[in-house]
Amino acid sequence: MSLNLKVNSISKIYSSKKVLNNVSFELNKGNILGLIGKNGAGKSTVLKILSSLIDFGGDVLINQKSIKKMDAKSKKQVGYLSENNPLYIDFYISEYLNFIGNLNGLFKDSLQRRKKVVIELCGLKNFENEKIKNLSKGYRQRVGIASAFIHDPDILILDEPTTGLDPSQILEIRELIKNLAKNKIVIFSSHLLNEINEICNKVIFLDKGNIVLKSNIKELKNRYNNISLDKIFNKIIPN
Amino acid sequence: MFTIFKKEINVFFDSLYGIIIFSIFFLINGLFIWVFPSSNIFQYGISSLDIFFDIVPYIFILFISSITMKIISEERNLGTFEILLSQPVSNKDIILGKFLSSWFLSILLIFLTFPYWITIYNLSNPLGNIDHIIIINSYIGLVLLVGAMNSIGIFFSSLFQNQIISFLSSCFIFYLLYEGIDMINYYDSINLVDSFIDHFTFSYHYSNFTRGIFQINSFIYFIIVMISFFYFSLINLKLSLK
Repeated sequence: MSLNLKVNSISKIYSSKKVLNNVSFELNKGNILGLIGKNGAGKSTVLKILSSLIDFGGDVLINQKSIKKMDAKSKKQVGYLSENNPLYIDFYISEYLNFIGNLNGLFKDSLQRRKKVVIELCGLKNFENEKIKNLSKGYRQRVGIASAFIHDPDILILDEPTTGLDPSQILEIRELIKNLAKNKIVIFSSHLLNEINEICNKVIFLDKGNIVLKSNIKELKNRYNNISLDKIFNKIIPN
Repeated sequence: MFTIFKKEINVFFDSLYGIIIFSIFFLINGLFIWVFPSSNIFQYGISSLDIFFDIVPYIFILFISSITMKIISEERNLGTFEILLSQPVSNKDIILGKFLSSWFLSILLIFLTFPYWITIYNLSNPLGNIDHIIIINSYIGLVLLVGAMNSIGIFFSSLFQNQIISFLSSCFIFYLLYEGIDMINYYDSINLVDSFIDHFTFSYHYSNFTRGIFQINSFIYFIIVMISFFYFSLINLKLSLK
């Protein structure tokens, strides 16, 4: 089945300050989009809008259907990992995944099946019966990612998914995201341009709420004679 | 909605907080009803639970404020409320699940006071000489009263991110609605509006039940308070997403 996400001129104003200004882009199945920008560029705001967490101007269409007109149950199409990765830390991992699964309409066999898949993919197999508060930051991040796609959403939105992870965990999460993206749309933000370079096939540079560059990563690198993404970023958005 | 309800109940009983709250409730109740000489049932000399039904709303003022202050304020503070908002559940289901769970906990406490009823029954002379109708109606009134309190408490929890402010606001409003407005009656100068104001107090409607009368307008009053504050919480939640 085809999958299309169309973001049409989305804007956001926080207490009379415009933090997002007519942002538009379009993605299809298999696309991994990296959002890059300095602090306050509007990355998290874009991701929150796509996750229906905040009101906004403009529109977002998933398979030609506006998310503004969708009921709450249609949010199942989107999995979201927030920047700070809030978790119910007194829950056991298994209990937490059950809770998120239940909220997404997964019960009994279907829940157990999906739980097994995400636990395996996120490397949480030996930690199922651990309380979240006893886990390291890296493992908590894995729990957050596991809960974001337990219901097998079409669109996965990850706000700084590798924050706090050690280098080997970062590599594992990158592989995981690449695997997941084969039949999904993945959008994520990161401060690590190297990471965007490794994982994404599309990139958007945001500055003060505006898109300053929107491109395919390969084309972009060709255009700039294969210099690193960091350098391209600094050329386009100088300090 | 049921998933959120279940989660709230589990969180409450999995924590030391829940056990402490329940213990304190029964300790305070027990002291006032069975021990303190100024209020205990033995000194009262009549086999009824009037003293319990007089005292328990004040205990619920503290109990419900302390449960509801956590229910949204704390989640918003910790950021976990975002987990719920990003899931395929409507805001209505989130608020309803939370409201029903805190009401359920209050009803559970009320239910656990049934042994008082049995005790009074056994203490009465001749045996069984108590007015069951008054007690049944009082329990119904209490269930409705705590429902209204929970709905208001959840509204304040949705209004403030700071739990202490949420707790104090709820306590103040509960007290004002239960007794504070009634105290205005002591001022002769506003006697004309006394009876009108009376109709807005919890104590007025609750006392109808504790007198053994099931008055439909009192029943409707509590239901309206519950529904109104449920919708106020919803509006507030919607505004906070703007």
